[in-house]
Amino acid sequence: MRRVLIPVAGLFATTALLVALKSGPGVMRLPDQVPVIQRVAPTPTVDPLPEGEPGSDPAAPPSPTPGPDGGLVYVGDSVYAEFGYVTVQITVVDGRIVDVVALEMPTAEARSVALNARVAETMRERVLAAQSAKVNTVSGATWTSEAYRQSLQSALVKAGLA
Amino acid sequence: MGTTATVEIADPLPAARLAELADEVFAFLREVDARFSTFRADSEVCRLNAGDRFEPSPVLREVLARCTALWQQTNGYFDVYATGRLDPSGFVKGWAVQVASDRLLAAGAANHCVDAGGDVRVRGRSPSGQPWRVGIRHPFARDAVCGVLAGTDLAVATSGVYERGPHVLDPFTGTAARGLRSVTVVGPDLGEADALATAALAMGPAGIAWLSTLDGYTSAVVTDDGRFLCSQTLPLAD
Repeated sequence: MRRVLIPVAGLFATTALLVALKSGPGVMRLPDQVPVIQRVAPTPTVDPLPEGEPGSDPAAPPSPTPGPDGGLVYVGDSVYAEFGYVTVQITVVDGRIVDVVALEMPTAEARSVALNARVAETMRERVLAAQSAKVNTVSGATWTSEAYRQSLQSALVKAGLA
Repeated sequence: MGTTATVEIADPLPAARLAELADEVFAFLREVDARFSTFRADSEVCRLNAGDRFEPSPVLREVLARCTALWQQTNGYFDVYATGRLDPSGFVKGWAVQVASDRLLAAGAANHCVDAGGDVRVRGRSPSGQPWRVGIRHPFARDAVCGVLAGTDLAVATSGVYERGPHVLDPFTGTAARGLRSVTVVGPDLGEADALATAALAMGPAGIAWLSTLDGYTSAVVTDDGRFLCSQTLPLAD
């Protein structure tokens, strides 16, 4: 089973990497319309791989494990790419891949992991509260300036300049 | 630049002198607009985009040189060519306010607030005698602020993706940046603060870590999912 799944996970790792770099943080799920891989046998077994199998990781947890909705969850190998490891997990139901999750992905954030300690020191989180405090002025595009911009734009359109 | 500007001078100067100083600021801002506007066909920026061959003014050269330095400093995320055409507005607005403030200081008005479209430079004290108070616009609540900064020497620039406002492009993908709703950068120079805020917004969530590496500038970030993060040393009033 694993021999079949490794190239499959590899394919998705590449796809997911491209998407993840554009979509940002967190666990990434591919959309429903990803191509369904039919090569996975409907009833995968938990037999361990033969020892010395290329690409196998003796320390990896047994795969597959039962997942929600009666699916079977497979965790792919951790593959080093630029800036970090890629680890992809798939969920298979009746021989169809129903979910693909990147457990590890060198996203733009991951590139900054080395900086996180410094972030923790220098940044703090506060409650996002809406205040009506007395101020002299406000930083950030104001409703007035946005309205101005829109009005200007509409004027330019009317004038045939935009 | 399609925006509004406000000048407030708190120095005890004769009214005629105050009016003169304010007129000089507005004359300068109009001059900048005439040179850098992306709306006016006869501006230097529009003429460059139209392919006109002419000798750029020293001011345009200086601005473009500083934009190039900021492009390098921000790993390419502050990009005056992000839209495919030259548009240095993300630096010019803050730079113009900074120059106007520098000129006011040199002219003897050490207590003032200059604001162009939400890019703010304050010096000295407000008319109340207290440090100036600059609100950070709340990105989700109309007419509210999410924090107040106080100080006697602050440049405050905010780049935001608001309800109906323009988006900031990620220059590497050409698509609208996502993840951060507004980025406020506070420091000594408003042109730089403006460009750094725009760059962090274009970076998305990775911009938070990047902001924390900047020397001399503190920051506040509101994420798309409503988190408010700020530097430990951000000069908050409360």
